[in-house]
Amino acid sequence: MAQITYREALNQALREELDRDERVFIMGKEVGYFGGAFKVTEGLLAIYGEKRVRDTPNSDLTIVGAGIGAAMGGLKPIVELTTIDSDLLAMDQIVNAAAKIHYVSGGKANVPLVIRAPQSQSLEAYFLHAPGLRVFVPAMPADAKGLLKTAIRLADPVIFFEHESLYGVKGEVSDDPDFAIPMGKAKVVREGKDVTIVAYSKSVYDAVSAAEMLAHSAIDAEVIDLRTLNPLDMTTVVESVKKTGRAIVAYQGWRTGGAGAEIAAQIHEAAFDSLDAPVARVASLDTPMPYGQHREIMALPSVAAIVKVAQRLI
Amino acid sequence: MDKHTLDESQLLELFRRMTLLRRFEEKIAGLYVRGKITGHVDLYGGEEAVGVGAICALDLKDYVVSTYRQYGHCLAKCAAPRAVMAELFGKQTGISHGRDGAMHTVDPNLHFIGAIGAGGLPIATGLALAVQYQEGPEVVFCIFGDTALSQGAFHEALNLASIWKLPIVFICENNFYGMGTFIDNSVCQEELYRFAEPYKMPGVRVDGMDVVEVYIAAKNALSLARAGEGPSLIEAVTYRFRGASMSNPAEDRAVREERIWRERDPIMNLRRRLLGEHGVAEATLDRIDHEVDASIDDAVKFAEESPEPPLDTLGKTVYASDH
Repeated sequence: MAQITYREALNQALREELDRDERVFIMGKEVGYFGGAFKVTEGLLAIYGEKRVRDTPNSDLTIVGAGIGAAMGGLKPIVELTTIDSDLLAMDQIVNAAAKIHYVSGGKANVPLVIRAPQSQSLEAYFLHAPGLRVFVPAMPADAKGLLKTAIRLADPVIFFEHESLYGVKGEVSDDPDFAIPMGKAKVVREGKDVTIVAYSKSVYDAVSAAEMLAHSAIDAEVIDLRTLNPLDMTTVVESVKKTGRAIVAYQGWRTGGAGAEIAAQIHEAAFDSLDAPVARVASLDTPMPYGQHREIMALPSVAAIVKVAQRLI
Repeated sequence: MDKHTLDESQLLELFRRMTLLRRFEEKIAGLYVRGKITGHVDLYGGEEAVGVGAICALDLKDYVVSTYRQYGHCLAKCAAPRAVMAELFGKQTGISHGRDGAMHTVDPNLHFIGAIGAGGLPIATGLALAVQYQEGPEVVFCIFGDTALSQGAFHEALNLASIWKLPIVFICENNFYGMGTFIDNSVCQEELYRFAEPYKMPGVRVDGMDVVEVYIAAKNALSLARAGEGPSLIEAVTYRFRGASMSNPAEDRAVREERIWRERDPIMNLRRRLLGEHGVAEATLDRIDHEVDASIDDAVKFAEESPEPPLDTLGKTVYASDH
């Protein structure tokens, strides 16, 4: 165990999997000589060479498509996109090919592809809406490492979200090369009995801060970090809601049609009789992200907003 | 003449393969009209010399990445007619267990991938990367229509394949139409093989109604790719005898244009050559016709008698991994 950053945890996961399996390779714009747009692949080119750490043209559609083809040809590609925004250029390959190939082949062909996407906009709902894709949204450095290793070993295509504001966050991370975090297992990061706050990615930190503030007003909040959105661990969520009777979904996606809408709907379906109040969402304003820092903070879901909604529910 | 020549038995095999594609399509068109086959079926009649000429140049281990106009390519790649027909019927015994129909057949055992339009080019490029990475002997043939040239994926894939010198051959079936849109309205450079030059790869235009010409061009490009010399582009000029799909009849095309192209029917051409230049007996070709028809009738019977996919399995192959 060591205290390392989220960025270093990802870098460790990549090194360990490159060591473990010759078929694993990384490609993307800036991953080699530049060490990654966010320096996640720093140092890898020197160790593994140009064959396994490949700088590519700025062709997001074709890099993702080539990842699909390489995966079908027997390799385990990790594609790094500069940001999640670039995923939109590759949407045809992600939705029409990667997500469907296993199914349309009658289960005969697999696409073991990892698309690493530094997250500026919160576009996870788009990918949640494509059956066949796995969607990972780690918040903690240990989960970033453990889930990236799981993603690389998986037979399915994975969109792996890395929130840009988390790269510098530190945490305890195992250095055991066999360490991995299973997908579809949410984590209760804070136990409580009055209200359940379901969160993922950056919002987990906000949910924990909100829970600490709520404790001052004698409200005992439970915080659940989903860690992956597909598979979605509703068992853990529903169990918690049955205990607390109240739920808030906190996330940075837009409110309308966001992942929170799906989670709230599933809570209502599975635990309606246990609810003392409708499930609430704390999400981003339905507006493109404004530029100025003050306005950006206004548009994003805040700790104060989570606190306020929790107080209203109780 | 090039070093790649064809003997009589090879020519007869090309004839058999093209006849299979044509008669298979005529059969499914009839079944579609009768409501036995539903959904979307893209048609290939007239273009057989391209798929058959190119794919017959390959070894079985080589890869073909095709478009949604692909069951012809799939048959040319030696898929069993029974499995292809049963798939069109949506049956459990189909090549994709009735999950796909005629849109993007994917069969790793056949080394065959059907993709959507220009979407196949990036995937084929990645397959070629996998071959190069694993130092394999295989080559990827990526077959697509002229409409793919108006998509960005064409530029990106040829650019990347050239930078990495990948073992891939890009084969464009130029049939002049993207559904009903004439090529004038979709590509500024109508001599499509000229697109090879800016990507620093060899480019040739061949008569896509002549299966031997296509075969020889494919063999040449294959030799280059196999030898590590990188990608090439082949433009095969051809013509689709029917509409783009069963739901898009080509009623707007000039009758005269169609008649001119039908006179250049690749199967009739090869038939005339086999009878004339090679002195093959008419009875030999008639026997091939009958054998092909019998295999298609057998495929239809097999498809009709096959079970539907059990409803409770339809949601089960969405993911390869459990959790």
